[in-house]
Amino acid sequence: MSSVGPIRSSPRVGWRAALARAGAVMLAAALAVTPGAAASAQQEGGVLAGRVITQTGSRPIVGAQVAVADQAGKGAVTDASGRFRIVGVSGTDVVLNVRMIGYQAISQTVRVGSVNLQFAMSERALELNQVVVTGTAGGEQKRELGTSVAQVNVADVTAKQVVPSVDALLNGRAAGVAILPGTGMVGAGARVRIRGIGSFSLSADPLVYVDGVRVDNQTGTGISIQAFGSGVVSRLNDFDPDQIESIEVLKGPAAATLYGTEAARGVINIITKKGSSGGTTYNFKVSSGQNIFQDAAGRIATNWCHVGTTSTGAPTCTPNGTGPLLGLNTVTREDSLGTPIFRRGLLQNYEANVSGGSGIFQYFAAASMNANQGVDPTNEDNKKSFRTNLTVTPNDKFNLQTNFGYIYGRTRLACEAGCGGLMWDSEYSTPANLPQFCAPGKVACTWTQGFNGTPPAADEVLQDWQNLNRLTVSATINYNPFSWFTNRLAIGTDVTQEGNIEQVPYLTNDTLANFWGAYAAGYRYNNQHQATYNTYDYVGTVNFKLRPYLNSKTSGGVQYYTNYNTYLSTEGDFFPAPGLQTISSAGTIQPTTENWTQNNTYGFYGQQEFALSDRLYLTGAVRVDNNSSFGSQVHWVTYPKISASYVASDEPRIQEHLPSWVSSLRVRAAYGGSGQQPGYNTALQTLAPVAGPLGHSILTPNQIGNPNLKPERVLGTEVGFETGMFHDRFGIDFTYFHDDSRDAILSRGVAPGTGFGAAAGATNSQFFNAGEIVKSGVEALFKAQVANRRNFAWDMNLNMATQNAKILRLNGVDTVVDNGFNQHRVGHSPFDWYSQRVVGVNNATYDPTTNKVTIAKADVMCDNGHGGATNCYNSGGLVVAPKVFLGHSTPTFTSSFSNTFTFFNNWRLSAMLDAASDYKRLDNNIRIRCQLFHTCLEYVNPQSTDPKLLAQYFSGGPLRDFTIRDASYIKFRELSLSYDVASKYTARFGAHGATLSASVRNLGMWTSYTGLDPESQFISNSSPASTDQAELPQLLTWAFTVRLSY
Amino acid sequence: MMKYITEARQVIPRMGRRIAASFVGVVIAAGFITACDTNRLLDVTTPNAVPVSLLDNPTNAALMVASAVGDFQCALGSAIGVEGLISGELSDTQLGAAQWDYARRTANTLTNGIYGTSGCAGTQGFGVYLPLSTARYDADHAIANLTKWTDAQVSNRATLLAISDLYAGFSYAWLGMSMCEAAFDNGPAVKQAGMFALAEARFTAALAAAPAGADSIKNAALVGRARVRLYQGNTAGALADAQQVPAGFVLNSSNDATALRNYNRVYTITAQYGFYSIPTWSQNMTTETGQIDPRSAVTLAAATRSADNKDTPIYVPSKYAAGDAAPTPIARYEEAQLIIAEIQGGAQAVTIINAMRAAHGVNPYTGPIDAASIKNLVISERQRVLFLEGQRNYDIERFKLPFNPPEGTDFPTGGGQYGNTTCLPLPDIEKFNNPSLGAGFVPSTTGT
Repeated sequence: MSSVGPIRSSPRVGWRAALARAGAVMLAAALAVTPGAAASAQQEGGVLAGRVITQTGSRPIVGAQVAVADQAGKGAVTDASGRFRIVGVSGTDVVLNVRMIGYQAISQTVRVGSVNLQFAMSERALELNQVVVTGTAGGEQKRELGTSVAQVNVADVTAKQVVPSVDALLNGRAAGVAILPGTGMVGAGARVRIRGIGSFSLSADPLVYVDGVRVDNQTGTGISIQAFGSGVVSRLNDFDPDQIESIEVLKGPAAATLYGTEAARGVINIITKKGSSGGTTYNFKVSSGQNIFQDAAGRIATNWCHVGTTSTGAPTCTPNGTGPLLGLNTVTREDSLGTPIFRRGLLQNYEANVSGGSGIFQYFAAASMNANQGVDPTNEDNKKSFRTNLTVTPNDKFNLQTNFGYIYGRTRLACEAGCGGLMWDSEYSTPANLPQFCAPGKVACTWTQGFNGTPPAADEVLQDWQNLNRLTVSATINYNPFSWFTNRLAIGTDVTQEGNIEQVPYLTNDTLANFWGAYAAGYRYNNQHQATYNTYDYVGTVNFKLRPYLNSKTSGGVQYYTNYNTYLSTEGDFFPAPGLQTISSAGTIQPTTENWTQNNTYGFYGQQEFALSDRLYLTGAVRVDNNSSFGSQVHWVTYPKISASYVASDEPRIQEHLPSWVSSLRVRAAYGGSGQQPGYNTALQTLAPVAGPLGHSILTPNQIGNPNLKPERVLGTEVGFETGMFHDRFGIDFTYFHDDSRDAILSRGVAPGTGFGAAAGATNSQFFNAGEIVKSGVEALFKAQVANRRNFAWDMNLNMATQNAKILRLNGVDTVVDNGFNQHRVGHSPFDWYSQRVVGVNNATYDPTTNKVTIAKADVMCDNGHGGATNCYNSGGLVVAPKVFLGHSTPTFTSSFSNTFTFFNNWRLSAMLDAASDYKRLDNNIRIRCQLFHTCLEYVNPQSTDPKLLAQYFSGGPLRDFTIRDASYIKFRELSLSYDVASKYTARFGAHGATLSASVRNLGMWTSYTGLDPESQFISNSSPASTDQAELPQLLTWAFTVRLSY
Repeated sequence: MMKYITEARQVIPRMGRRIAASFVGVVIAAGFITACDTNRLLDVTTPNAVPVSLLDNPTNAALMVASAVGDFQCALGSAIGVEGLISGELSDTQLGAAQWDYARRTANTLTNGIYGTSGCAGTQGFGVYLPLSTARYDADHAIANLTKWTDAQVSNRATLLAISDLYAGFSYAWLGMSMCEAAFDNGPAVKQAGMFALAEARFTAALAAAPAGADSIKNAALVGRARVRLYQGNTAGALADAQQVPAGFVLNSSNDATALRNYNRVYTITAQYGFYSIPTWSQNMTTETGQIDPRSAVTLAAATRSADNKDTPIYVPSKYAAGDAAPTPIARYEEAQLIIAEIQGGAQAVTIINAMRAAHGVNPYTGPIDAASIKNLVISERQRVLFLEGQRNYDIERFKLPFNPPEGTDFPTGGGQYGNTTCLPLPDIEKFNNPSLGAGFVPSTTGT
């Protein structure tokens, strides 16, 4: 037991000995993960080595899994040159299984000791034997599942091009998974929405697991640089794509039942790279490029005024006038002055990893550094990521896998949207702020240079950043005491420390100081947030072969998740002198606030699966959960699941009747439930402590609570089929889904007359189970190998998804107002756009002497909601016309189309377009320019403007249907060209393989949207509806990458 | 398929045993799990909040009443800010759209504005309906408990009850001065007269409950009751109350510089943060002879820059220039005297006003004493004496004074034109979420 000498696999070794050996190996590994150590391990047992290539073109396949059947831990993952090496193999002849997403699996008997094996894999549109993570021990083959699971082969994607983030990885690669970016700033993330929106008020963020443990999935963290409470940093993007092997997405409640409460919005499983048996492989990547604000001058608005003079002869620039028009585009102007507003941000990405191992011990260790500059001169994202994944397999029954990931970084962001910043000051530029209109001697005025109010130099004074330290550690034990009994225990923690800082230094430049008002003396705000997620997950599976054709698999699992958040915030305002930066040195120190929140989930499940002849799979499961956020009157919540999968093409009698060109066909169906819990402590009625008079603390009404609050319970049905045709060169994966959220939670406002909701941090809202939402749609994936010749191959993918949500019930009434623009109405989608719609103006008078159009309120006509018109205003001047439907606020159709062309085996050209349609967004840019600041050409030149628009501009706010605009788009998302350097060249510098690639992201779009960008939006305000207000558009990014493998 | 069915009949007994064994394991595990005290696994703390029931304990009576006072004082600060902005005593010097409807006097046309949803501790935008409603809830909640409890349970119960009644009275009074309608505890809408009546009832209760020696409570209740009686047209009652207020009496809110909630709101938003200033027409207002009245004087906050741009000077009322801790009057002798002057009119009004002027070195009024002139004198005097104490806006409403700038004038900052807001309508958040007012729902009127 105390021996640390040579370790041999033994099927009879006890689990205590196995644990001891595992510990010894772990220790040895920790002390020396070196080629030497690996080499010594290679002395054991037989060796298998070789190469995995494509059947057509003989290109190396990176990341293919090669495993010896019935010998746990004896496997390898192919390197950049497609090579693998497995040591410690027992026996003389073994079956070798070779698997790779998108290729037909190979099972072949080989002689132990063979070192020049070659496996040529054919690309396959439909791969049913792929194992996916579903919550059960060891995962399940896709053929067993009644649901669709999207898989993204990340290693394959990153081998071709630079992908800046995890959400960019998902974009366009998983049908039904919508990526809704927030802003083009580097370091900012996107919202991820799986199958649209199925809730009124709860988070629509899917759960995220990394190597089996739940991790922080917040998409809107950090300083509120867009104002209105919105941070833009997504925790999903902390993970370096280069360290990820694959991502699997479980969509909908039927697929995610085993994940229980909180999983109704889907589950994203991130599987990081692991080591494999064989020689040590070193991989290096160097990437560099630029981030560019494409066509900035064409997208940033030109603003206008009429030039004139005052009675004293001073020059004026006013919206209403008869003088000549003066237009200002600050981008053009600053470019001409040699002081461009936006820069070309440098992108740098370095990564190194080492992997390998013996039959007992495998390792993968990686380090990467990303340094990205945004186009805003203050925007930077710097991250360093480290990962060590170790696998210990002392015998066939026991396997220990440890995953250690550490990330630290600093993301500096710039203000935009309602916060101000370069985007605000440029988009809403004002010719009246040009130097020629400044009064003599007004130095600060001349600095404004036509920007909205603050010139770039003053904007750049603000410093907003987030410091990040994130540790994700997990250990998974797989213990299979018998061939029919498997166990998995996963324990892990994910700790994220965010330091969110906002500061302005004491400004010594008097002119600059003028733009900062009282804050010219500086301030510093410091918010420390730590989020801890702990996972304890046990699953056991009993597998019986009841008859030669009938297999039974029974699984049971218990999970306990805890989430603990701490917050500490403080602020100091007004430093007494330059150079001081700490809060304690500020003249006014705001009270420190501290809080912590806890949320625990406890649940268990049982699942029974029957497999008939390995082609008909019937599964039933029940999940039971309790959660600390449920109301006091709510206890255990149960979620059922049943599913069926039938590989019809394996059925001889059906096979006879299938056309010869159908190579495979599977049909599937599933019905299951999952949930979404309400927020932290939302069920409780509370008082909050606040500072009272005379230095005493007092209690003030805080949260009104709801003791009857239940989780949202979503029941989903999904049916679909997959078929491969023409020798699997063409494949279709089709799914129809229908989800029914019975207790959809709505955050309704609390009537202020109750007295609740005034405390700092209170939300003025009450969660309640408001009604029922159904959503349905189809997802279709078409894959085709259009050409497959010796020197040319053409692979095509088309992903399409529709999502239609409808409110079925709102507790007996038919409409609820959510906020000014979005409403929930029975029979319509949640968050649809509603507003008064101006349909006509009875009389508009243009006076050429003043260049003014006059429209009386009584002459403004609105849609009456029944196909006719009614007065928008009543006689008192109040808007009384009904709000009418203007459009959906989120896309109901998304699609992506990608093509990969392979030339002469070594060259690959890949391109991807993606699209979203049938939705509208709020263009606040046009509203602010035309209705508030009066600088748009339509306002200053009214004789040429539709009176319906003028009537809205003149309303000052209440009438603004002109701001809801179609935002459908097609984007040329990715283009990459890569070259696998021939081995005769790589051998010259001792490398196994080398790849050179050039890639471009966001290089074009087709859209009818007239705003800055059809995608960029506020990232985390309470409404999911898309709003555009002076956010940076998605950037064009190009990069050149070199990868070397040794 | 038939083959499977036939074979299945033969093997079901054996299968059953194995499947049963599997299920037994699962069931035993599930039974073990549910038998455990799993609630402990779900225990969480609420470190930043306590249950409402905490204040329903007599031992916490003093804390309960202090909370009511604290919430009112915070609400008063924000109400003065909001009323000041609408009435033109303050001007907006920031680029935040949320406040424009106050400054533009269009808040009555956008019923989803911040007046119904924001709290009292802001420096840029703040509410009025919610903070005052919170203060009203606190005080009424305290009254209900203190009425229920006994003297044996609560020491100083009578005083605490009187204080609660007093602050409930001022909360209702301020709600009536600010809101066209309000609702309480999910009840029906109450118009201004109804709110003033509720306020009067609370002031009367305060006078009844106040023990001997609690003169400050009594005098404040008299000022408050005189105010709301005047607003209700009960001039005799108002006169009687106002005449009982002794010279020199003042009840101030105890502002301090330790926490944003307790700051003197007017000082904070002007001199400290530069988000608001005093417009030219409200600076250094003069008497009928052109003499600058020191009671409405303003001071240039030379070190403070406006938040909107580089040029707007920031002024702070001299009465609050001492800083964040400068006290804000809740009720005082001068208001009582002005009420008397307004009711009595004629020479008596002049005498009262001149006496008050003399105390501040302002020349006496020597003009005509016909009813119209005295009315204008009282209105003008109230504007300067009660400068930025939050009463001007309701004076504009009840005296139907002209707006400045006039309605329809272009609003320079955020577009649109100046409106005619005096009182604020019931906000959407109340209308849509108060079950007595429609339970949060409005009729569906259209399709797609």
